[in-house]
Amino acid sequence: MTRREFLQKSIISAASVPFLSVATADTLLASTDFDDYKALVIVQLDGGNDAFNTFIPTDATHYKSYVNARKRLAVANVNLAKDPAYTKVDGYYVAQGKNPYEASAPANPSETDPQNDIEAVYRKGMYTFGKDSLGINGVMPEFAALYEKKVLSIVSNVGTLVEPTTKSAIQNKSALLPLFLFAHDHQRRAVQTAYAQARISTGWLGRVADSWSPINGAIGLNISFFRPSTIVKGEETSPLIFGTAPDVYNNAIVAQIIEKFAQTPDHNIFEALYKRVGLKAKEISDAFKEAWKNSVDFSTFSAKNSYGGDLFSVPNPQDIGLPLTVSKLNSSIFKKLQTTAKFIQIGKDHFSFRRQVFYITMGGYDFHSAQPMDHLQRLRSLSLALSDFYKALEEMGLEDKVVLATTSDFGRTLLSNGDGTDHGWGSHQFILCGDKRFNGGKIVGKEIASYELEASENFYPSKNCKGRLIPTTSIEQMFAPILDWFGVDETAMARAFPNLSNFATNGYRSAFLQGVFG
Amino acid sequence: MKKIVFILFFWVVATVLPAQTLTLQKGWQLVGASNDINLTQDFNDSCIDIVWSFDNKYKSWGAYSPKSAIVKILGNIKGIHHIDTIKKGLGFWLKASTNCTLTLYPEGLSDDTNATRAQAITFLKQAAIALRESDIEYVMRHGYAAWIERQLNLPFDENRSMLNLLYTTLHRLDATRYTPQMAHPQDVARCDKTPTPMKYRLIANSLWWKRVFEDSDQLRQKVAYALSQIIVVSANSPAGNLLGWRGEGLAYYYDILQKRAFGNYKDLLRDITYSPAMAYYMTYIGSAKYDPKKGTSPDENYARELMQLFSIGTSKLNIDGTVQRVNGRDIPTYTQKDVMNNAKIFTGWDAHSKRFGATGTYSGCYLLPIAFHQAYHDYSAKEVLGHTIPAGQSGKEDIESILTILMNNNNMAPYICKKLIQRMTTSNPSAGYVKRVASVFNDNGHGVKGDLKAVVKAILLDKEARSDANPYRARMDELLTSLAHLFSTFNAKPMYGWSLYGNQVSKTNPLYWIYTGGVFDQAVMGAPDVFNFYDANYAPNDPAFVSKKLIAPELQLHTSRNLIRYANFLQKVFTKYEKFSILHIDKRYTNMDDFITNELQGKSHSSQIWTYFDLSDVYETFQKALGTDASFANLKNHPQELKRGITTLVEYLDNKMLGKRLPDDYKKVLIQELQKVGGYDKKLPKRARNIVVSAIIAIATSPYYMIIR
Repeated sequence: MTRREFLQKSIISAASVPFLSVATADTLLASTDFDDYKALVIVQLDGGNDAFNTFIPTDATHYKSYVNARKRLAVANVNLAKDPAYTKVDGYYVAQGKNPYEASAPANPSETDPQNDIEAVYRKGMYTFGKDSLGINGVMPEFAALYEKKVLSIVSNVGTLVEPTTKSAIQNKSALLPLFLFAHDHQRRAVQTAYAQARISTGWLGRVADSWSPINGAIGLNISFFRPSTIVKGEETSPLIFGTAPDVYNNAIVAQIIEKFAQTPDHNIFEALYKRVGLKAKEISDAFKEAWKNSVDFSTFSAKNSYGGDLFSVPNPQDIGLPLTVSKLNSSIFKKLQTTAKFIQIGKDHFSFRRQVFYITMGGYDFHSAQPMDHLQRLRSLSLALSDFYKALEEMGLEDKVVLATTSDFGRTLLSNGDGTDHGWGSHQFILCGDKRFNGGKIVGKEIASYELEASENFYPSKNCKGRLIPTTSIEQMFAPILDWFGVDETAMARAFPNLSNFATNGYRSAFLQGVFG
Repeated sequence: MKKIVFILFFWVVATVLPAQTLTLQKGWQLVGASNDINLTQDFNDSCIDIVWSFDNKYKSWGAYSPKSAIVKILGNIKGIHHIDTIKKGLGFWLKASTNCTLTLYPEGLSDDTNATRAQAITFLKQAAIALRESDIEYVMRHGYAAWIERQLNLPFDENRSMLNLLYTTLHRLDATRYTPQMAHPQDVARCDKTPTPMKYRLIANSLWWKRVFEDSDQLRQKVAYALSQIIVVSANSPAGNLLGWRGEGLAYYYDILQKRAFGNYKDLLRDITYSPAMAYYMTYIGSAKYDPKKGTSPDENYARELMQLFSIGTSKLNIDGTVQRVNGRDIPTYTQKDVMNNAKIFTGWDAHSKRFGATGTYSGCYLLPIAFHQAYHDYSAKEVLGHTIPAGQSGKEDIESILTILMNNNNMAPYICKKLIQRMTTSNPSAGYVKRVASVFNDNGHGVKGDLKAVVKAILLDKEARSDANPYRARMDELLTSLAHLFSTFNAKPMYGWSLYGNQVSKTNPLYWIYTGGVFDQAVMGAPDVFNFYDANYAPNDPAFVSKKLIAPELQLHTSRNLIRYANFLQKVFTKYEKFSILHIDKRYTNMDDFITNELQGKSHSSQIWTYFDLSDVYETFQKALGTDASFANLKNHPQELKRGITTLVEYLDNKMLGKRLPDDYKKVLIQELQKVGGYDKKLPKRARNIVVSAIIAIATSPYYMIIR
């Protein structure tokens, strides 16, 4: 029998062969019998962070190409950490006890061009460390301190990939590429499903929850702030959608009726589904009736933010030396990380959970225009909020039990469109963790080979080059070692990251990005 | 092989499919098609393993399977082609894994003139935003087609445009805190000197409610609202907060959607392209041609989304909306090269009365079409979607060229029509339904493409939309529109006017104030980004939905959090802002005028709902059934009377809100549980109120209210 004949025979008898019936591939359930607490926090920089202005090349050749591409958007080649005006206090970079931007805020801002004020701060300089190939934008001093503390690593040029991909493979069309590169919704989906070659509707964190189901009762493994996201949606499990505090039904009779409705016979699949949706709301409402009462109060913590305020308090931009046109910091990232820190404590102590995942979206990273202003505001906010989060974990004694890592839709073009940048592909991300095995303070993943537009461009003749980088590390390669740390075993890993084996040479661990853990 | 086909052909002639359902036995069977069958739509049930059909034209066997594992194997075999339709009159072999019954979709237009109250309510939830009693009665008396015809013939009232309402409203507002300096739409000279900071978007939201509750052009409002979720502009701009403060730009934009709701899609696309709100939102405002010195190139944002979201989508489609595939992969409608060329078209534009490329919130006019600056326009030739747009054209000519290219693209009709269907009637239209509507989009019967009037009619009158038999013809309501249905049913009224921090209460220009963004994350023109409030393909992880590949996009916002907050919100408004509660329980006021005047004093605009409700009919019904007075005196000691009263109340609400659709099981639960409302013996009106309000919330949050079918 030839192979073809065999296959044809198989199809004819398809129905009677069990392995060909639609498989949800539910094989062995991984053990969820963990004996310690761990939490995973993913922060999605929504819209496509401009990682190339967040982390700036330090090497002279690369920096020159970077400036050529970025022109007016380029961050200055000034090492703020080395500037004698900036000294470290408690591990943070400050200028004579003040914020590094104090000095640069114009004496009389209203008389100057606000755009220049903004750019002066946004492009002021960077923090560099030894021979590390990337510096950290000067608006992120707390972030730099975490890096120097070796609890934070930068992941170089990561992005959506189906398999290892090269420029020549793209040019000769042999590369299997992600579906619809450069389109927000498709690339966001690819990041979240970890299945870039096709549309699927479940996310990799959702599938981890499936593998560990049932876990954490009605609350489940995954918690997503305000909105559901594909990444936390499983085949069988759904995330908890959470605000800054739990919501509980005010009308007990209504809650009771919703529960009783759910027990009546089903008449239609939409109706059946909606009954379960209602029932879940009731269960969540019940679960949280008492839970939040003993949540931690960060104002009682001895740790304070870099301006002496309570952790997670949002400084007034002008009090920290930002130009007048920055009207406020992004308070939502402070709130979400604060709630996460609270929920970690409640999950561990009140609910006795052993594993939790938090998915945080920080919006507004689609910098087609007004990038200096918007990026500055977000990076400054992110740096402060991350530092508060880490300090809170330290004071709760949980800094080694939590990993926080970022994702984004895609990177941006190296070339600017005037006052912004367009959709790219490869991008840098970062990972924060206080576990000694993590050993941060370094750049993992392949360094970007060239910032020259032509060299980085993949698809079009050089006159149309905008500089879209081919990722050298896939999303799954970056996150597999993190899931491994989290306790995801080989079977569950394959379910979370079906493409991981495309990057493996010798066993699934060989696909892990080296240097993330150990 | 040939011989078998021959036999098969004759066998088919003798076989006719039942009109609505097809009963299959486990194992192999030979079936004949009395109509064209769309396999991907009608045969996607998991009970089907495989369908084989011999194609005489290609002289080869074609196969179809809804199961990915089988499809994968089929893909590896040369000489077997994939089929997704069976033509009328052909026979085919089918293997079923179990006995099952499939539903086949009805075709054609409905000529039904008799609608029950329940059917009229379902129809109006598809075709209107408010549920007006007069519309329910009209549909019941004259039928769907007559109502649609009447609505399509209502002209757009310029006096009720959002901009006009905004203009007249602002001129009545507190002159000291917020200068009412918004220029009149025709006052070009003052247009760019517009606003002192003011959350126009909040007012725009309020004006949307005003139109919903007061105006009869409900179908126009519904289509405009549906379009606002397809061609999205939002006060929550990812690129900055400008539109939050330039709400006049949002009002101008929404008026385009309202004016063009029954017009031609090309005119709509042209108008929104020139609108300052879209130009700002999709960042082509100030986009300039490639500048080697500055190292800048044209902004690609609108260039991409105009194609991806507003016209043709990312994947090539068949006319019936199914995706064309080669080797199992989608065929892209455009490439990155098309995006980059398209980006050159949208160069040289900025807001009216504004220095090109200037930044700052209050620079430029948002009440007029964007202005062209030739120095920044890219005059080179553009290669887009296989067409060459010649060099040297003006900005307007370039835009006209790309709009023509897009209108002529075969993807537009299925792409836009499926979206409109999903925002109006069902999340899971059959391929045949999409095809019927898309054909009308392509030709309205008079050779015109893009006539939305004809499209809207085709969507609403299609048998698939009107038939109750199809179990998948359903759509989750949004919490926002469900609230609109509910509030209009319970007589929402404005509290006579608007006053921002000040003390002016104007009785001449009443405004509603219901800002839901803070309650359940949805308010008109407030999507988080250009991809709208929810994922357009959101599929619940429910086995029944997964096996039938069904989606329920709106359900994505029915999170536990939002559902709890929604119920709590209803609890608040139906107790604190309802006439019976105010006069009989709160008792601080003896008449509504006093309540209204005093409630407005010194209150900030965001903390109040500023809309009140009148449940008098419900309370009266309940009272009469109990045989009691306004104090509900005999709620106390007569359990039998209480049960009878609650039964009457439930029946009354079931009819009023749903046209009697609650199953007996639900009513039984309601009657049982509502009798347990108590603990307020000394406050009988309060106990009555808790029964009434709990009943309304329980029905309003039940599947029968939230699922439109």
